[in-house]
Amino acid sequence: MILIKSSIKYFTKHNLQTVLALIGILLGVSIVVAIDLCIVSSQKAFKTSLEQSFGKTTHFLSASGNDISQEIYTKIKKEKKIDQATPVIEKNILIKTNDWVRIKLLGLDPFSYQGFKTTSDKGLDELSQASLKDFLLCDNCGYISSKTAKKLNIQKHQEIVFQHESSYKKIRILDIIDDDKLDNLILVDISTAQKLLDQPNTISRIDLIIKDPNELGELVSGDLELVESLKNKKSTQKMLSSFNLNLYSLSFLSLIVAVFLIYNTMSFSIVQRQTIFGIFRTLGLSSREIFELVIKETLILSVIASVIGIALGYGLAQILINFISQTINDLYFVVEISEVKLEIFTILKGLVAGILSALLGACLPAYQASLSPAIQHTKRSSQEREFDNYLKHLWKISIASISLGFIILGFSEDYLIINFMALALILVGVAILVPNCIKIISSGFDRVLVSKLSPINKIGIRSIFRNLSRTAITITALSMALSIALALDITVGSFRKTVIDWLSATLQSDIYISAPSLSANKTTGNLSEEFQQEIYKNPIIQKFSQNIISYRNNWVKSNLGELMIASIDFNERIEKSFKFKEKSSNWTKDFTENDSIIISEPLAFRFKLKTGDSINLKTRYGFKQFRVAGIFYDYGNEQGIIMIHNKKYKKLWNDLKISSLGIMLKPNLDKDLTISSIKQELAQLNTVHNFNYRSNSDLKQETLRIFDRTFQITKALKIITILIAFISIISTLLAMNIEKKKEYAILEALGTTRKNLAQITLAQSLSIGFLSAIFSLPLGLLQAVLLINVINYRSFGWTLRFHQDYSIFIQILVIAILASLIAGLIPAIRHTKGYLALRND
Amino acid sequence: MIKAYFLLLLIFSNLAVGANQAISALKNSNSNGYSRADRVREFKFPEDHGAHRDFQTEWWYATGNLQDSSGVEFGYQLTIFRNNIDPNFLAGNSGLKTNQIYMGHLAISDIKNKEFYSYEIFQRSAGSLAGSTSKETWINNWKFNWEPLKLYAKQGDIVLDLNLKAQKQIVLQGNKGLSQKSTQVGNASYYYSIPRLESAGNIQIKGKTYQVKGESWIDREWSTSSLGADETGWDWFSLQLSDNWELMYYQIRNKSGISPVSLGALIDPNSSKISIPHQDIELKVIENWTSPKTKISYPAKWRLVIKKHDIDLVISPLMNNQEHQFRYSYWEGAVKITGTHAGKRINGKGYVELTGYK
Repeated sequence: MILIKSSIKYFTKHNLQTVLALIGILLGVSIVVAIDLCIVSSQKAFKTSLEQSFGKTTHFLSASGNDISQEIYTKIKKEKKIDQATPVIEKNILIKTNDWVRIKLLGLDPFSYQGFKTTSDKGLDELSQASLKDFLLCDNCGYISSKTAKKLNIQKHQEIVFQHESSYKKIRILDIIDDDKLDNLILVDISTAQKLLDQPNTISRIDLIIKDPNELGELVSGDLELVESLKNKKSTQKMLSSFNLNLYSLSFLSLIVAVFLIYNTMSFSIVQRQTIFGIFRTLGLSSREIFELVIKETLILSVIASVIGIALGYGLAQILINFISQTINDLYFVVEISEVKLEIFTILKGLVAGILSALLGACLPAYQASLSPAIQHTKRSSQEREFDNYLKHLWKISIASISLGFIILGFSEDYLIINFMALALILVGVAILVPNCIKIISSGFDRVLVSKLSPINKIGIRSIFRNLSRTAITITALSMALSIALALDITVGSFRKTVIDWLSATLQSDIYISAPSLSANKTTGNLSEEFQQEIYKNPIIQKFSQNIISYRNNWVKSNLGELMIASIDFNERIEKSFKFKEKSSNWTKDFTENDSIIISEPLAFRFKLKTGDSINLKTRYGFKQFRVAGIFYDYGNEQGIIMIHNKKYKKLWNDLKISSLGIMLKPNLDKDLTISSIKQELAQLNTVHNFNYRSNSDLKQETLRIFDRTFQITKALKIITILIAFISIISTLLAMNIEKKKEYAILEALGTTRKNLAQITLAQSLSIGFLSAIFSLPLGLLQAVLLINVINYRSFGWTLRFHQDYSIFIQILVIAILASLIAGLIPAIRHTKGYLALRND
Repeated sequence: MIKAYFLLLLIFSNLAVGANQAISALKNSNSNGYSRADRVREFKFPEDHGAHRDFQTEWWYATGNLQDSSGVEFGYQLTIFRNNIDPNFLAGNSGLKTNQIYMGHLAISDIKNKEFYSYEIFQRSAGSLAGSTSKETWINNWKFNWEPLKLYAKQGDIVLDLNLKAQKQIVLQGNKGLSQKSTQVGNASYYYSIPRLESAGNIQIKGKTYQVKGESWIDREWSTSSLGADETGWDWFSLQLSDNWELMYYQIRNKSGISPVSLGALIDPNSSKISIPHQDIELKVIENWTSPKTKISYPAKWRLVIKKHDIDLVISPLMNNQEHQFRYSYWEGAVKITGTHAGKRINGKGYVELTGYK
């Protein structure tokens, strides 16, 4: 009990140390918790959005985005005798509140929908509680969720104006239902949807719950396609896993850094109490008891820190979720992550991570404490000798770890998580080389730089090398933290540069017109034929355009599952816009004349396809074999895409719809002027039709804006890195100062001013920062190379051109030095209290 | 067959207002704008087999007892209900908008394995999904076909596929088919039955097909009327006796006992009907059964005596669990009969419906 009391007394008396010890664990835990919460919430939102769209649906019958006759539904119910089938109308409409807002009009059939309800489907149950009669018979009545009502500022029984295609109509809000699943949509009876959308005898699709896809037999023919519901698809589940894994790895790295921090703070607290431990030993306590005491302290501290860390992580998650949800929206699908809920599982994860990493970090200091001899205290020099011995073994561990990492990387192409583990092995291996490297460079450093400095600075800097057992860990931790920031910067920078180059090569048209789409980077809607005609016939557009290129994106069935196909009008300029990874010698001829397609790099990567391989695609005439004539670089779609000549696509799929149009202007025009006059023309058309239009440069800017938004999270990470750098420097310097109290007292007695002492500490601090920055450069470069060429490629199949901006190095250096300077201030100021009190010792 | 009418309203009201308010909604149901059964009319066939859309409710109802060649027994029930949810509705520009909503109940009682399969479906009478003509009435794939007389329904684990041949003439219930439900004019239904039909065909349970034969009973009724304020439920019996007589009896229970509109009908081998006022019928419950799932306690064995016609019967379920567990739970199942009629020992089979029990 007396032991615990002494610990409590120590930690309550030394507030700063306690805070430092707590912060190490706290930071690690909060990051783990924040990222975990974000992932859990985004997955939940994803599941909700899938359930909102699909419920228990296993398959749906549709005509690739076109409406289908309601007779098909009758046939399914009457002739095919399928129990669980329900008709759905799902369309985007624009509703007028203060502004025009895009929202989904969802037409369901409450009778057949029963079997599709999930247990959490509150909406339709409440619906049956309200007036079913009004819902079924009223021509324009619908329900909205309370959240949507609030967002759009709509009251019960209010009428709202909406626009669909070129007509305006009104919807009356029958009731407001408290159900998240109905967010961002208006729910109407299927017959009401038919009436509102002027499609008296058609529906969007038929949702089915079937075991055997053959149950529909000959009904699936012509335009009709039986599609496995997104929810049922394994690919959907996998879709986010790479993204999540990357996030998890970030939180894992932050934990590694946290372990270093804990080591630092715990050994610091032990250094401070060496005398007390010595007394305990003299009083007869065994070294085992001292070891246990330190472990117990760590346990208590880590529990406190973890609890605060969890709370902090919860707060951090509220900020991070915005970045993450935006990224998911940009990259994958529209999903509204409305809230982050603290899950018990996440709390447990945070606690376990906090306690385990704290114990790991405290092991060595606890061992050192247990060695406290019964006499007053140990000699620092003997500790340093011991550390020297460690260093000799560290070489071997480091080499083994790095080699093992590379061996695993070579063999584990398919498992991303193993790749990450290998990366961690290499990283740790290289990191633990740092203390040895410091030792090696120390003499050179001394000769070149230190010898020229003033004696005070010399004392400061040389003490770094003489106290390697304290400083090496700090420098290692710090250089690791900095290297992560550096590696991320280089990776994101390389990615960005690659995308910019790719955009410039690919975007050949001057103005792009596309169908409104649910996701920022995918064109999945289509432009009506009527609208296309208006564009082609428009006098202004006719006058200035040299060429109008049409694109069509669609999903096709293949022997490899469902794939995205894009058909394109082909001409010389388009031809040049493709940058190939590999291609057949006469790909142009094959592409235009033969049954050849070209595929994007991620697709080739996903299915391990090479030029000359073939893919079977389901055309209107059944399955047909296509040869791969080339693999082109593409960063627009991480799932991969097939490119086919427009002529062939139209013939084989009988699909005349268009997803987007590209207008190429005649040469020698004043581009800006022409573009703005065409934009005016399009703005006119936009009041009647629903479409997006952007100039080439708008599109580039927009793409880069989304890109930057995607990687905003890395900025948050940088801030955390700086914070870690800060804390580790402070705690190391404080530890060193305490150990050197006597020396400082002597120095002070010999006439060194307190200012000089502060200067020593600042010199120490700066050297730690500087050395860490230097070591972080190779460490960061290595990580970047591995991230770009191994992790990124194996996650997405994208080849990124390595691109480093030298300013990043300078940035890192500046961050490190500034952080160390500021961090050095606190211990430096402590010197001003002086050490003369110790002179009697 | 008043029972199905209540049932229908209960279930539709249930959809509309939720279970607790169902009964009160039923009692206040508004009949403005609908046609009413307020006078004796001439029935025309096959026209009257089809829907009478101006009336609020209507149903096509078949039950029967079947067995396969080895004597394995089955009971079945196929009911299609129609409800006009708004008499003032005008059709508009939508293929699926309609005021005619159909509901179906399907059940097979597998007596040997003591398994009860029951299903409920809803459909709108639009886009040919459900509907009724003089030739057929259907909801999804479930169908009453009149010429020739056939029943078909496939749902979940079961398929019912029967050819029926009427053994008796059509019987007009009540006063020439006008079946009064209370003293109030218009609070009545048009009601006819075919009390005995030879039945043969297949039933399928979980993929296994049984060739079956037996006898069925068909009821047809349409009306626009509402439930009395203190009525709580009803018991309905359709019994086919081995001497080629049939007995139909319904009793409406109210807070004070049996409602005076309760009525029986005895049909002789020549299809002639003898009305029997409920005072002449003694019905005594001998046993009860409590549903393990809904905890509702139902009568499960009766003694039915009509002294005036020398009838003394013991009626018992072929199996206890024939409870439909939908939003509104009720018991409807196959029963066997033993007893005496006109001094002779007889037996028989039939169907019983029990609603409003707690």
